[in-house]
Amino acid sequence: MTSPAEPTPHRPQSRGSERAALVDAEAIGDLEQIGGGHSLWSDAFRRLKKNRAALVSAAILGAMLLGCIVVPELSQWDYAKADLELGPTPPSAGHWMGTDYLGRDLMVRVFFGGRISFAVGMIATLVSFVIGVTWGGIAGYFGKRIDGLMMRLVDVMYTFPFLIMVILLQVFFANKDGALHELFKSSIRPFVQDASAPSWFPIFQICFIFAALGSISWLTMARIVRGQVIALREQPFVEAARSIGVGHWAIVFRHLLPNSLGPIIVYTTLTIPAIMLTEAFLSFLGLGTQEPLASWGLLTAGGAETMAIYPWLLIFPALMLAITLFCFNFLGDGLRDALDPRMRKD
Amino acid sequence: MALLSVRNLQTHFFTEAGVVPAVDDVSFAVDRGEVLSIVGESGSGKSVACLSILGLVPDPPGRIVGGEILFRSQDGHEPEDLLEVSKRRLQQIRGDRIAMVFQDPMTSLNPYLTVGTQLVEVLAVHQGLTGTAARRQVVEMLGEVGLPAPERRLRDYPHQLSGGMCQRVMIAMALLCQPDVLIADEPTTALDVTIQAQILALIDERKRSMGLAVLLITHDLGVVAKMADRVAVMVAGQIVEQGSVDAVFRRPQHPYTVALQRSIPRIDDPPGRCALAAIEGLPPATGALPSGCPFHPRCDLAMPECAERRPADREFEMTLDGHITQHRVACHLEDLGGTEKRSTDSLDEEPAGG
Repeated sequence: MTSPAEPTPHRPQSRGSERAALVDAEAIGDLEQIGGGHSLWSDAFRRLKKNRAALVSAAILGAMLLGCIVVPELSQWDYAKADLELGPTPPSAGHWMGTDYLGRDLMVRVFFGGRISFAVGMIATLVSFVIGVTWGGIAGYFGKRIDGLMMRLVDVMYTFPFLIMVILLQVFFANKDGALHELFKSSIRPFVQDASAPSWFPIFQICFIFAALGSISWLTMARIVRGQVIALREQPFVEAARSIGVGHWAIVFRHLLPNSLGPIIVYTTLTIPAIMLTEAFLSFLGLGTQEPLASWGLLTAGGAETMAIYPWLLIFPALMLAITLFCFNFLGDGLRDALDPRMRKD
Repeated sequence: MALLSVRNLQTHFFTEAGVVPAVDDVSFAVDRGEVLSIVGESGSGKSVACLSILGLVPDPPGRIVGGEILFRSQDGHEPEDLLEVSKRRLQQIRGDRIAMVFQDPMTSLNPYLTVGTQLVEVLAVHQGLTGTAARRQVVEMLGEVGLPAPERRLRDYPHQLSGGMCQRVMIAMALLCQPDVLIADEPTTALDVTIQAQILALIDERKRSMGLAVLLITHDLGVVAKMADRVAVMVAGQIVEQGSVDAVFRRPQHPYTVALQRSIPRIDDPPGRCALAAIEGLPPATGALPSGCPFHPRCDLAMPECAERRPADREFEMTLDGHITQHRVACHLEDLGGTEKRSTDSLDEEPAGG
């Protein structure tokens, strides 16, 4: 009679105490992070791990990045070496993604192109993060004349017609004898044996595109962050932080900018695809990446020309581009939710 | 001299519509172990006066145009004028020697940082203390302000706490460095009554045990009666009456104070008297402050003189229950302003217009 009844009162009790012990252990573990200012990021990471879509996206992006680094090195094919006898062939056992009209293996070219496309996206993002966020944060927080001065500069840069600027710079300063090319050569001379070798010129052109895209990518970010910070700086918690003696810089970087992370991340996830597409457009115009180098934009543009005859030349690079942009969007969404402590569901 | 004394403070707001004297020639002082309560209607400048002390008035549009704020951070030392000290020094004083608690605890904490991070920040800023030592101190202080399970609260975000808990965290933050002065700007307005009593008891206990000087801003006269040692009554940027809490409550000298008290419903009012005695008219609009005495447009006893000239402060001693207390009032009604004559009742019989 008593034996079946016995476990019933025990089970919830033991489970309850177990849970309490777990919570305590967790609390003590987390105590280590408090005070270092990292708790926001460690908490965000913990929440991100619960978001399956974001996790899968991050994994795919990681695999893609790894593929871009590894595949061109390990493959038996070369991204630049043409095989004119072979010509364009559909996907086969030897060439998984087929070959292009010069008989080059498409898979190697796609992964090689990924290097440039990722690099462009990353650099533009880095610039817009570091310069744009800092610029907007400072302008928004300090306001008054500093704000006016800083944002007018942004306005002026906005008014430059980007494409014409890039073309003019390219024609006058970024050609083989241009001042920018000389600057590039002198800056790599300490590190390489022959800085004047023609093989460096395409690399220089890519760096030029990086610089051009970087210089515009932070403008909108600065405006967005400035708006956020202006709205936030009137919040009571900023006054409270001031009242406990926190300095201006700490308020901007520890209190205000983390609070604006939501819009910053959303905008970043929009920036990466936009920058990749801009690079594709510039390459298409012959201003960016040049053959035999490749980028996703260049490959897609080339594939689009012949899509009726050789559809795989469009499908594979476009697929890679699409998957990457999808994953960035999911990851960005997940990051935004993870970084907002109030979004916590539990 | 008192621990903190504000003399002839003038904080003006320079707006497009003109200059608004939000704080106009205000003087008060608070000493160790003393609660000075500043009462007044919304927009009377009580918050601005307190923000001025810590140099937190938003600039633009606000600017402190006159006066001095003398603070004696160490006994025996010369007092410093907080309006003259460097920004660096002011930052050292904020949170360390003079701390502040704000009205709305839910929005006064950064929603993106855990409670623990924000509390440790105070110690990091002022004592360079981080890590385990800082956490221990924070946990201890959270325990002292009566937050249950303080270790676990450290990793909570503000939105996970109730309003009362947030205010305890704010008070813990303010008291962490054992300040000399606590400025509490309506610390209980956003809280329900039972929490309010607990928070006030907490401040009161600190005042008694640590000799904390408290500047309590409120418009709740019940809170004043319970907490304050002395009271300053503000109208439109000016202090019209200042004295011990007993004196201000039992022998109010200024018509505004009298009216203010009459407007509070009393639980022992005769049932027939249901209508509340509201103060007629509206508080002066910030853009259009009256000339002369700031209360004269609403004052039953106003004389022509009141509109022309701002009444000077009159200081005198008042005897109450055998004690002598200092009292200060700014009103032209000198004949009523004697030591014993004036009371709520005598004002009732006074013909309007004096």
